[in-house]
Amino acid sequence: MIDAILDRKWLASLLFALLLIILWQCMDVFELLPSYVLSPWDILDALVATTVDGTLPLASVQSVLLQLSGFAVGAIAGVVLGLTAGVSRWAEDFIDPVVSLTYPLPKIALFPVVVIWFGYTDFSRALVIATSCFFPVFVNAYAGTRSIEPRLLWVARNADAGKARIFLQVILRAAMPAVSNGIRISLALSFILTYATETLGASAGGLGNMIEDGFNDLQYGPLWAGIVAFAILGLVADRIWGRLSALWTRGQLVEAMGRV
Amino acid sequence: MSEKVIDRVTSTTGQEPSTPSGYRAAESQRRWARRARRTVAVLLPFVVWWTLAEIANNRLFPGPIEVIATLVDVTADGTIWFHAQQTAQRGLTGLAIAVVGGVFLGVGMASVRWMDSVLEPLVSATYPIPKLALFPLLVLALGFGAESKIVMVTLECAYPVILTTYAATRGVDKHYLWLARNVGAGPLARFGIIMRATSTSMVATLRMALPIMLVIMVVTELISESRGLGYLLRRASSDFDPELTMAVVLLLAIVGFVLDRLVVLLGDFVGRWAGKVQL
Amino acid sequence: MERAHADDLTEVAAGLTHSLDELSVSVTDLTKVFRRGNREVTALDGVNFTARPGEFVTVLGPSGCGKSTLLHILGGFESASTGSVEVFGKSVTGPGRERGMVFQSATLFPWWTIQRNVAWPLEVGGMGRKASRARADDLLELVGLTGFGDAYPGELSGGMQQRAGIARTLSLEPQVLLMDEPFGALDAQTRELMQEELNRIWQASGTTVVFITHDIYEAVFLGDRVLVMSGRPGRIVADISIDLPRPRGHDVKGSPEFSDYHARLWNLLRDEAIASEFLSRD
Ligand SMILES: Nc1ncnc2c1ncn2[C@@H]1O[C@H](COP(=O)(O)OP(=O)(O)OP(=O)(O)O)[C@@H](O)[C@H]1O
Ligand SMILES: [Mg+2]
Repeated sequence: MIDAILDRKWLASLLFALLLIILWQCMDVFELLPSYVLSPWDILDALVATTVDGTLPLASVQSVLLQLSGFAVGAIAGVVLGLTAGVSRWAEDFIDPVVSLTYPLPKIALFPVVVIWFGYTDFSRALVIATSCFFPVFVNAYAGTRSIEPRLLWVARNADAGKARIFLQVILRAAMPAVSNGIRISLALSFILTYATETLGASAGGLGNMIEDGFNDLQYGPLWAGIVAFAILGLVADRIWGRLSALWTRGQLVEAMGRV
Repeated sequence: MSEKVIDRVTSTTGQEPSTPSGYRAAESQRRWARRARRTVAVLLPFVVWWTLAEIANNRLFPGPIEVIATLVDVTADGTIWFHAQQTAQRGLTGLAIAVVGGVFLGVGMASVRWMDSVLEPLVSATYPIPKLALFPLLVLALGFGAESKIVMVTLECAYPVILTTYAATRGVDKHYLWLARNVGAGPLARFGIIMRATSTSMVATLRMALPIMLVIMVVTELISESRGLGYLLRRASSDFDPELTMAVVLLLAIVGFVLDRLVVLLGDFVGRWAGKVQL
Repeated sequence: MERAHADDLTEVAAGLTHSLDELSVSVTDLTKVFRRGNREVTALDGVNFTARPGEFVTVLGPSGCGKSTLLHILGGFESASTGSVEVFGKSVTGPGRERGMVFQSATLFPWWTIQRNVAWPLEVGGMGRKASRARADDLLELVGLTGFGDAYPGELSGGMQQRAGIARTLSLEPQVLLMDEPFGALDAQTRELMQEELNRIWQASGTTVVFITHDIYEAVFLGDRVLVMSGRPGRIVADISIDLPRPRGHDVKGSPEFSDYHARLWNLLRDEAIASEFLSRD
C-alpha cells in the first residue's frame, strides 16, 4: 500500500500536502494559531470576499499589467542582445564586459535612484523590473548560442545554407532551450520585483499594495488573499511558459531525457 | 544581415596566412583589437554618463566623479561600514543556513525514497511562487529585526540549492557508491563521496544563490529597517540625495562583484579538490 | 578571329583530356599546422594522393595521425597550411554541396524530425517543401528507415541516427562522399550490416568515397584502395589496391585473399604505431 503510493510521486506529495493543510485547520480549531495566521478555510473565505467586492481582481490585473510590461521589455532585450553577442565577436566585445560587471548588482537597488527622477510611478517600477529580467535571459541566450555544437554548423555549411538561414534555422533553434530557461527564471523574478516595487512607496495599487495595506491595517484577510494570488499567478505563469517552450523544443527535450 | 554578424559561429576557420610569422602577427593584432574593444566597452558607459551629467547640469543627475567622491567620503568617515556590515552579516547568515539545509534536503531527497516521493514534487511545484510576498507574515511573526530577513533570505535561496543538489546527487555515478558499499564504507563516507562528486555543481549553485541573497536583503531593508545598505538607499532617496543613493548602488555593485569573484575562486579550489576544474 | 578559333580548339582538347583521366580528388603536398598561442602541432606533413571518379578509398592510420584533419580539409571546413586540394579540378576553398560529409556521430538537428532533417539540404538547395519531403522519404527507404520519418533523432538508436545522417548527406547528391569513421560508434552487428548497405548504396550511386576507419576489416571489405597513414605528423606510407571481386558479400571476409590483405595491413599499422610511440616518447 505505502509502496504503491510512494511509487506515484505526485500522489505521495499531494497526500502529504493535504495532511499539512488538515493539520493546519486542526490547529485553528484548537486555537493554536496566532491571529495573523488564518486557517485554510478563512483564507478561502478571504479570497471569495475580496473577489466578490472586486478588490482582488482589480489588484491582480494591475499587478499583471505591470509585471508583463516590465518582463516583456527585459526579456525581449535579453534575447536580442544575448543572441547578437553570442553570434558576433564585435557585439560580444562591447556587450559582455558591461554585463559581467553589472550582473552581480541587485537591480532592485536602482529603484530608489529611478524614483528620484521619475517618482513612485508605474514607469519607474516597470523600468526596474525590465532591468532585472534582462540579465538571466541575456546570460542564457548568450551561453546557449556560444555552446552550440560546431558540427551542426558544419552540416549547415555543407548544404551551402546562407547566413540568415543558418541563424534562423540552426543557431536560433539550438539556443532555444537555454533561452526558454532564461525566460523562465526571469518570469519568476518579475513577480518578486512586482511585489517589491508595489510595496515600496504609497498609492501603488496592485497586489503588493494590497498586501502592504493589509499588513498596516491589520486586515489579515486581504493580506492573505494577496499572498495567495501572487502564488497562483507565479505558478500559472510558470506552467504556461513550460508548456509553450515544450512545444518548440520538442526534439531537444527528447534528446535530453528520452521520449516525451 | 551584416558581414560581422554570425562570424563567430559560422567561420570555424578564418583565412590563415600561410607563413607562421604572418600568422602570429595577425593573431596578436586580433588580440589587441579585442582588448581595446573590451576596454572601450567598460569605459564608454562612464563617459556617456559623465557627458550627460555635464549637459544636464542638474543636481538630481550627478556625474560619475561626484558619485565616486561621495562613496569615498562616506567610506572614509565610517558611516557606510556599519550599514554594509549589517547587510552582509544577515545576508550571509541566511545564505549559510540555506546552503547547509538545502544540501542536506537535496541529498536526502535524492537518496531516501520517501523523501523523494513526498518532498520533491512539492519543492518543484512551489519553486516559481514568489516567496518574498510572505515577508509581511515573517515580520508579524519575528518582528522588524534581523530574524525576519534571515528567514526570508533562507527561504528564497534554499530552493535553487535544494533542486541543484538533488539533480547533482542523482547524477552521481552509481558505481562510486557501489564501490564504497563494496569496501564497506559507512554512510558518512558515502556522504563524503557524494559531496566530492557534486561539489562543483554546489559551487555553481552558490553562485546562483548569491545574487538572490543580495536582492532579498536590499528589498527587505528597503521595506522596513533602520540599518543596512537598503535602509541607507531608502533614506538617501527620500532625502533627494542622488549622490549618496548612487554611491550606495555603486558599493552594492562592488560588493556583488567581489563576492562573485570569491565564489569563482572557491570554485577553482573545490574543482581541484574534486579532481576537475570547472565553473 | 583565327586566334579565337585556335583557342576554342585547345580548350576543347583540354576538356577532352581532362575528362579522359579526370581525377575526382587530388591532394598534393598537403600540410597542416595547428597553432594555438605559441604551440604548433604539425598534423599533416606532405600528404599526396588521388582518387578516380567512382572509386572507394579507405584510409587507415594510428589514432591522432591527422585522418580527421585530412577529411575536414577536403570538406573545406578547415584550411590547408600549404599544398593544394582539388576536387574535379577545382581548388577547394570552402564547404560545398558536391562534397558531402558524414561525421562519426550523426549530428542530426535534434529539433526536427528525421524526415525534415533529410529534406533540409534539398530545401536549402531550392527544392519545394513537398518535393523535398517526398525525396527524403525515398532516401530514408534507401537506408532502411521507412516509417521513421516522423520520429525525432533522440527517439532513434545510434545506428538508425547514423543511417539518417547518411541519407541526409546523400540528399546532396555529392560527387564525393567524405566519411569520418561513420560506423565507429556502432555495435559489431549493426556495423557489419551498415558496411554491406554502404557497399550497395555506393554501387548504386557511383560517387567517389573517401572513408576513414580504424578497422582493418572494414577498410579491406569496403575499399578499392586502402591508404595507410603514418603516425603524427601524418603522411601516406602505403597505397594498396584491393583486388577482391565486386559485389562483395559477407562471405568475402572468410576468403584467403582477404586474410592476406588483412595481415599485410596489420603489419604496416603495427610498424607505424611502434614508430609513432618512439617519436612521442621524446
Ligand atoms: N583544432 C585543433 N587545434 C590544435 N590541434 C589540433 C586541432 N585539431 C586536431 N589537432 C591535432 O592534430 C592531430 C590530428 O588530429 P585528428 O583529429 O585529425 O586525428 P585522427 O587521425 O582523426 O585521430 P582519431 O583516429 O583519434 O580520430 C592531433 O594530434 C590533434 O591533437
Ligand atoms: Mg578522427
